[in-house]
Amino acid sequence: MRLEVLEEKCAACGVCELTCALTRFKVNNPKKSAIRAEMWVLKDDVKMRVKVCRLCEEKACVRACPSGALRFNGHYIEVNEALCKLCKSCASACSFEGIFFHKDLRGPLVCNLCNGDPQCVKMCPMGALRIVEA
Amino acid sequence: MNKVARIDLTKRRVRVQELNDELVLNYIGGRGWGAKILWDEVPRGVEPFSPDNKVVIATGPLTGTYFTGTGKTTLSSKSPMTGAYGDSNVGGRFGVELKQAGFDALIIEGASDRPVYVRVFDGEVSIEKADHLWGLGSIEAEEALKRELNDKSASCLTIGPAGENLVYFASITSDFGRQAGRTGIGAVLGSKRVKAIVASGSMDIPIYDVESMIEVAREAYKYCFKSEGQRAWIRQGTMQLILWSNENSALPTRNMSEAIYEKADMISGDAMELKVKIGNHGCFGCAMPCGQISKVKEGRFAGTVVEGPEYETAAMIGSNCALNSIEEVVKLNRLCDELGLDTISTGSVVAFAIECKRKGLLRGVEADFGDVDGIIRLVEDIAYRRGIGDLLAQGTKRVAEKLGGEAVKIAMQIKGLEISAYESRAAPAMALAYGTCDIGAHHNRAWAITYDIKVGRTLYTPDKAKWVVYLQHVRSLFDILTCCRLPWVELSLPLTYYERLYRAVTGIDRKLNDLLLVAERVYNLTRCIWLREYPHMDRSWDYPPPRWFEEGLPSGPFKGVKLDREGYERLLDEYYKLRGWDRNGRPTKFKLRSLGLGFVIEVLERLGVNLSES
Repeated sequence: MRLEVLEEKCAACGVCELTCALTRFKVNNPKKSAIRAEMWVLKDDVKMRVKVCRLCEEKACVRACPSGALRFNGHYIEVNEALCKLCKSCASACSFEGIFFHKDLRGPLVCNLCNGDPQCVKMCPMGALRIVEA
Repeated sequence: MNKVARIDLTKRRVRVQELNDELVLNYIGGRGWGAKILWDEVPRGVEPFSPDNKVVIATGPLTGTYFTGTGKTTLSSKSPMTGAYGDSNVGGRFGVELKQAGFDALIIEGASDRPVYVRVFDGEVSIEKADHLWGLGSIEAEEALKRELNDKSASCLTIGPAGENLVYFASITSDFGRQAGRTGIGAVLGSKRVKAIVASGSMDIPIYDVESMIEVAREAYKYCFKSEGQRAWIRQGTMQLILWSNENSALPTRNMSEAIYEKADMISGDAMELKVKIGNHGCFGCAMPCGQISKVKEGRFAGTVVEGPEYETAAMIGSNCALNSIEEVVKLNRLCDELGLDTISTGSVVAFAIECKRKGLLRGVEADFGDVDGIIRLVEDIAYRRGIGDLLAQGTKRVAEKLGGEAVKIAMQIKGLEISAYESRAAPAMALAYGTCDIGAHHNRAWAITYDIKVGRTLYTPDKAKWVVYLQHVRSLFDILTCCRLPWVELSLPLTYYERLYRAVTGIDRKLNDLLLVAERVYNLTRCIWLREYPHMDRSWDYPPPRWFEEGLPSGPFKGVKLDREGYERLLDEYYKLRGWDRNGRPTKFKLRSLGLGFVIEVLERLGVNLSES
């Protein structure tokens, strides 16, 4: 399974962010989440952008990691923090900008689909997040 | 946490202080802190635009926590509109970023001699040059700052040209489309040469009992998701109210000379949804994101994008100025946002100017009702203080006082602040709510018109006064806890959730009644700020403008209805009695002492305010 994002429905309220951080770390800190919802203001338009791992075909992050800290375990991108050198190559390689770092954390934050029960999907008030079977 | 950064612009010095227990326990946050800090630190007689005025930017215990509607921040200052206590709150994400940067509140004091912005970033506060931002629109400035700092997640408060030019009703913009609109605090920032305040933080927001917070929040979110109202609010937000107000003879039309707008269908929520809506934008943590994003798709204003319109804007700049289409409303809304003008006061000032011109009371106004180009020009003239705009920039009250006579009757303001978008001749409880609102005529302290509609549009019964007092405490409690009241107002989310959430977040066990007592304390304190400023203030200050007493509604089911003076006096007497105030609206010493506000007594008595014992 993977997450599907309907960006046109997103309202950038950030409920997904805080839900994620509280589920993973029990901290009230949207900056410790593996998903971000942003509003982009353009000259004559406004777009919502949701940044999260989509479990893309390429798995560019896994390939970009020089120290083998990331692997696809068949369900999600698993991070081995002990191997991570915090070089952020994975984040640069991700075309969905779905990998995050935080100064308190040892390695990158990547969506782990909450062990098969993604909480952000349940809590999104706009129905902008969906689970699809990959 | 409980940290406040005191930013002295004159000395270019920032001091970080702990908030004391008295503020935390007795005033909680948001407007509670604003009122207490202004009482303590901004003495009587300080001119709103002098360096001695201060702006308090405060979050509350609930800001940024896991719950619906926690993206709020309250700004308080001595208002240029009224010369007394003013506040305005803003949604979005600023308060969350401020807290994550390590601060619960900022106090902006002194004045800079050149344009600056204040940067708050993970425990650091600095004052930075902003010459390159001065003159930009408020949204332009926000985008420029985020680019410059290369920080997309930063949140800004910015002012536009109106704030820079000291337009008395200048607003503050945040996150593209959210505004602290009322009471002119944008102009106070302008007088201090503060173009923007930008916050960005990555720290945890401390929570006493995370598991309990999650439990309460999940229950509340589930409650909202199940509600039919949630879908309606996402679809049209406050714009649902245009047709509702129109059907109830409450839609301000042509400077509130009428209460039914013949073109309401053209500026309604349905018109928005059908013609211009392109998406939603929610404040942080919201379960019912009601902010609308609109874009004009065709015609001469094609390509204009705005967050909104909200009901208040569509009514005050729309029907009240007789605009012809939702596209015209979107255009004016974006213009006001970019210039940094409060759409409520702007709509009222423009409509007042047009009516004065039509009645031969004011020269130099070229705009007319329904004349979108003329209105655009007039709004720009106000923001840049050109021609007649320079006078109008001071708000309806000052202009009316200058013109005298008939102009005073049709200046739709109370205590200097323009009345927001509920025409209340056939709504006595709402009229009382406006009359006794502690920042001037604003609806957010008590939206009592629904009660008028429920119990009777021309009744002046004591229960109406009781309802207004109740609302003034509940609704200001939201601005004290600093979160959005709409889940409670619109989806009937029970207030007990807030009691539980407050306990989970702070570890302090307080019952709802105790929290409401804080709201009452703050309401009395703000009244005392008014009395300290204006010791001669009496009950006449709590009256709506003469138009509502003297002119009957011109059409509709309530044709001929006007406010009954005797009835209003009775309501006011009842209201004062319920509050423990004397017949001129002065709190008794007994009331003040019982609320822990004994410290104001000596100050007020020294000024000659005659306070009765009980």
